[in-house]
Amino acid sequence: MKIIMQFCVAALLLLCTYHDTRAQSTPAQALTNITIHHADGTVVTGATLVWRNGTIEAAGLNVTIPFDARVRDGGDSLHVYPGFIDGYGTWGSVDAPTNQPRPDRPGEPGYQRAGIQPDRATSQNFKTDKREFAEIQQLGFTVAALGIKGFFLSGQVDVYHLTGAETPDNLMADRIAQKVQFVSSPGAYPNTLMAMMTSLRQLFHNASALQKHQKLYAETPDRYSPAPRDAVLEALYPVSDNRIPFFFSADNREDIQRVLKLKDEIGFNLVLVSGKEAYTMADELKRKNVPVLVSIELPEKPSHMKKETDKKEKEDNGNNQESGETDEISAEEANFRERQESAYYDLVNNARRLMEAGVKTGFSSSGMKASDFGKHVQTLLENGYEEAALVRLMTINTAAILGIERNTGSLQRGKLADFSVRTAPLSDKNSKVLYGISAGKFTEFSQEGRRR
Amino acid sequence: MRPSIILFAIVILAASVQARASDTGSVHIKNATVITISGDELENTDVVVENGIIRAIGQNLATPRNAAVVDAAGMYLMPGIIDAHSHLAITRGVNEATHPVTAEVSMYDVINPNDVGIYRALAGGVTTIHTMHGSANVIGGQGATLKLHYGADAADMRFAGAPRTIKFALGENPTRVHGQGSNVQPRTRMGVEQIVREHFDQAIEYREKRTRYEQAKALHERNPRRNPAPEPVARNIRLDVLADIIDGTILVHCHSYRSDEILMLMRVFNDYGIKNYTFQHANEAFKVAPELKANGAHTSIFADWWAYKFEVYYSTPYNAAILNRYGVVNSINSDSPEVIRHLNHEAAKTVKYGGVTHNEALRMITLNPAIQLGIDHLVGSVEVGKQADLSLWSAHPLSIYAINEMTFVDGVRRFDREADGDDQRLQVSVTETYDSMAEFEAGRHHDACMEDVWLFFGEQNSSAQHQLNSRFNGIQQLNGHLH
Amino acid sequence: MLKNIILPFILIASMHLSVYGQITEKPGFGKFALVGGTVHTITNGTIEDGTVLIHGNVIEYAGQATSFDPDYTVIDVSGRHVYPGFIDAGTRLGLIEISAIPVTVDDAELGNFNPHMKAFTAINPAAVAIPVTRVSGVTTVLSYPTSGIIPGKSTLINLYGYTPDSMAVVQDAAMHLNWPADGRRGWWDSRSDEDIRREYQRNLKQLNEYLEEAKTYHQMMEVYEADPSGKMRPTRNADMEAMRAVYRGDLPVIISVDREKDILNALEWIKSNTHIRAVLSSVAEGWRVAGQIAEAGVPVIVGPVLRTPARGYDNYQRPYQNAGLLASAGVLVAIQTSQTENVRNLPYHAGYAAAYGLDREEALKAITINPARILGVDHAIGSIEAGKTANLFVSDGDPLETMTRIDHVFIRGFNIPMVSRHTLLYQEYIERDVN
Repeated sequence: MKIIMQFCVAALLLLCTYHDTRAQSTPAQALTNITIHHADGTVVTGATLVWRNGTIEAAGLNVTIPFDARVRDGGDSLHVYPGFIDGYGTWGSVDAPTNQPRPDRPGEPGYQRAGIQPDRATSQNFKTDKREFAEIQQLGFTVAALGIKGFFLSGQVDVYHLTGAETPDNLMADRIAQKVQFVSSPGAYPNTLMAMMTSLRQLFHNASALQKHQKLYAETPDRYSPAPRDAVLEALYPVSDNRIPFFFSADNREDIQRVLKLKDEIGFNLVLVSGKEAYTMADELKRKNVPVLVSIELPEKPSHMKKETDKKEKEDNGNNQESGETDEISAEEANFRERQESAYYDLVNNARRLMEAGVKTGFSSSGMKASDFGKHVQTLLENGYEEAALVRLMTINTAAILGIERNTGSLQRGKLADFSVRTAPLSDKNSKVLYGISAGKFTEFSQEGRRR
Repeated sequence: MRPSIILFAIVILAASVQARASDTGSVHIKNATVITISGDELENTDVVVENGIIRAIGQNLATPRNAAVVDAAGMYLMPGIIDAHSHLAITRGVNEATHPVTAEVSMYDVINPNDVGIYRALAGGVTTIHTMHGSANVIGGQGATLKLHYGADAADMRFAGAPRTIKFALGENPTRVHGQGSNVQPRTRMGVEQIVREHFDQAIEYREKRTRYEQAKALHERNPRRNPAPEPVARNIRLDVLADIIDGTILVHCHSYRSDEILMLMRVFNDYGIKNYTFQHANEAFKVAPELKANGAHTSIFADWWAYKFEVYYSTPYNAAILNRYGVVNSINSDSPEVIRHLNHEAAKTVKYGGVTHNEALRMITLNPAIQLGIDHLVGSVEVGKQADLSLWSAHPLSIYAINEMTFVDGVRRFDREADGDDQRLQVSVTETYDSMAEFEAGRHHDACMEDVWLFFGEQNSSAQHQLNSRFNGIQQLNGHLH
Repeated sequence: MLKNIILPFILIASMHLSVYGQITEKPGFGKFALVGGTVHTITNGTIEDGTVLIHGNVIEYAGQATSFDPDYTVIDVSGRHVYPGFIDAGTRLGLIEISAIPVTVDDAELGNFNPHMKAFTAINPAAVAIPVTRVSGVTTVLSYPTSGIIPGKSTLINLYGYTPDSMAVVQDAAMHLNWPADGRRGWWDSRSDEDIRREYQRNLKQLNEYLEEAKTYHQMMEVYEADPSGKMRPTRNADMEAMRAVYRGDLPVIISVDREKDILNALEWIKSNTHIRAVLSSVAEGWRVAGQIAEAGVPVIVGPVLRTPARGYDNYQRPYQNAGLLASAGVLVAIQTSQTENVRNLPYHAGYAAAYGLDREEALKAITINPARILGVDHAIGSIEAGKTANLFVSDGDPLETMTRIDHVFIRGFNIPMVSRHTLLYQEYIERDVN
């Protein structure tokens, strides 16, 4: 993997230099008079950031700007954040098939129809429309672990540098995990949760036997029958050998317990993805050293909570016209609302509780709409999340879970130049990303795009 | 003041679920009429429970330290009701209806401990349920025997020491789902028999191969030079389970209606040496009661359901009385989140139809289902040394006016009518609206047995599926009996 | 002599046919005296050691007389209880034979608005469930059509007779209206919240438009019929014509509705149509708006009582308590099973209501005189009174109790044989040959 990584970095560097063929050596780039928001929470104002060949050369105060640097003056108003990392997303993926015909034998549908496709690689499954990459770059993301939309075992997970339409060419690390979720391919075995549970066990029994068989046959072909090849089972070997983890999506307490039960039985390495109610299992996740790539997607506020908020806002604005009106509700409805409200806040507080409990927690978009990111971040900030904690969640913590923390995730000398430049701190509702720099590649986002 | 408001003024709004209350499992129930089931009805009798176990039954017993005292004068104490046929507490799919044999799946993998139906069953005096795979498949999944520890995690609801069970299904459901619906065998009752035999034969063959492999592997591991590694034989969960059925370590509970199919399965089981099994529903069991008795087969039936499909057209609520007369161990089950609320009432129907004794009637919802689940040494009667699964009634439990006042599971008071508040949900949905009726059963017993078969069929169009789907369309729901 | 030979033959033949036909044995008919029992008249209290005289189709006398003409067949019911036949005000008995077999299902016509459909037309007097039901003491049922928004007219039938005509108490007993439901219909309803709301709005709009149209049609026809001279005869429309009986107030309209807000909606419609005789049925959430229902003076047919609570957070007892809460708010309450083959469990629905708060006498009324009143037939059935149809039964105890057995049933004066497929199978198999 290390070799692959180095190769990728080299490839990236080549790409970056390619654009400026007139230069003998790659000139440096610098941003001055900026506020740097580090992954560890420190904030440095009046700072300078220098990078060259896609790598950070310096970040902080008292930085000597190289003679060949192209300097951009931040004018004391720009804010630089380490590039956010999406720990698991399906940006740019083809859609999962819909309305598939029923198999002739629904009980033996074949791997593909069953949605058991660990042999799929993201590189083979990008859709032609590449706009989604730019959309999340514009949110401040520079790196994403990408999977494929699908069903039960949807494919391998690969890490990419986000570089607009060229993202598919910027593979950073491949096959870092296999993706699993309790989502069945309709009309085919395994169709129910219970069948998916058992199916996974059976797949590992089959993989283990096949792997042994292949090894024996390779060693002494005269003694054994020829071992067949099976791309699906073979794709599970890295998981059964504990070389890569399962990225397993589950949200509620019972589903997380199911995943942990499978982990205990089968013995795979696990990264929990999404985990919207993972706080309920925080202690066990910590004990079992299971990281969580948490989703911050929140459901719509219940309507009674929205009304409360609106009323409050009106009152705050000095508009007391409606303050006399009180909802007359029964004790029963009051209880219903109270419980629903606390259920809502449980979801809001999930990521924080995980971090506080000491669970390794990173970020996953996990199917969230790009356009909702800002809204959810604001909700978390309004509910007591520190900006620094959110930044840490989406940068160095996620990098550590993906195993790329030596290369990216913070603004340090020697790391990849992955960062975003914003008009205001992330916690500011009106904060926009002006530039995204991904392994040194500079993208400027148009005014029009920002206004959208 | 409107009555509904008065009602709410009286009712305690208890958001905190009483089932969560910590409880030592020690209780002294005083001066009850104790319906022991295994023995006599004892008047003015105390039952002393310590740490979940019945320690003493008698008069004027001393209260152990830390035990709660319940004055049960004028009330009736009976064993907790056991429902041998339920589909409560199952998450996302009761039927894996894609294949006629899915022995590999297990309800223990998909228990939903937050099902509010569990609390409602407790309110009806139920303490143990056997929650099963549906009846779409000839051999469905493995069942789960659960203690109704409402508020505990799924793993803690498992009835410790209960043997494994599995669901079989004969007749209309598997032939309709697979034959009519998917155009694969079985389409007939002939096909059903052969599906069972073929899979049993496969399982025997597999077990031999796998055992040989494991033996060779052990030899290899002991002395690799003398014993070369054997070619691997993958573990096959489905065939393993089937082989365990033949070995007798899994109890079969078979959905069945007609007498011919009941006889068929007994012949097959005799051929494979399988014993200790229960026919579920078995509306025509009364026609072959002597044969059932001769084979030691048990039955678990509805008190009076019939006519909702052709294979139950020729049935009778006197079924229980006839089976009882021939000495067949029979239980009365619910197969429904509604009927489970009043299994005592269902048992009383066996007295009406054919005059079984009160004790025999109550035995059909306590000790007999315990026998069928292999847990009769632990529960099912009020006896010293047994687990304290008990229900306490305001009147004789076969009376329609009897109200269950308290339910104890392992000595823990999981239901207490006096402390019962509204809203016993363990989980709250953020998106649900206040007046949502998503849980609503319009009182018509839906076909839990065939649940999600229609989901699986989706928008498919064959006539059989159309028929199936039409059951679930609009007002047609009213006809939803497909058990 | 000839009679002596033929009679057993007929009996044997009818036993054989019993699997297919309704008649299991010839019922007795003529003059019967039920003597020595406790007579629960429902409307006039309880008569200890009473006598009930039946002559032909009617109850001739109910009281304490000990002497009567010697030509009455005397049935000694001492130690027993005599009750008026129970009435289930909501079933599909006779319309459905086997619900899983569509060709035997006649309760659901296609289309949303079918006020001209008559359940009476599709009643099968030989339905196997009919004898099964009547031997339990349920002598009369309302059978209703179910599909769409206005499924048609129900029929009120006595559970003995060779033709629907002889069985009918009223051929067309009520118009039925399934109030559009806002919300999921049950566990199997997989529509999205948005779809549910959209469909509800659409159905409600359709219903309102249809009712407006029907009202306009009715008013137009009234004007024309009052004085046709000089007017063009409006085109007759079968379904609108059927609705006129509702607007005229001739035919009660039974509105099946469960949810709190739907009930309130339905009450609004009722208020704005003064002539109609509206009844609410099912009313799972009736207890939530019992005061409003009482205030509107609308009677209800509650049930089934044995159902799960409507909302996730509802107290487990609510379905049992519903009837009691409605009654104590002052609503006239009848109870239905909504069943087909297990209408025989009607007394247990009433029994559960009684166990959970409905006064026991009220529970009995809810399955006797109250449904008769609601359907406008209390002059004929629903109690033991001289002159009323002889629908009654004799039990060995409280008929709401599960274990109580029924000894005799009279329907329209016929002394019904206590035989059904279920008893016949019992008799055959309790002593089965083993070979």
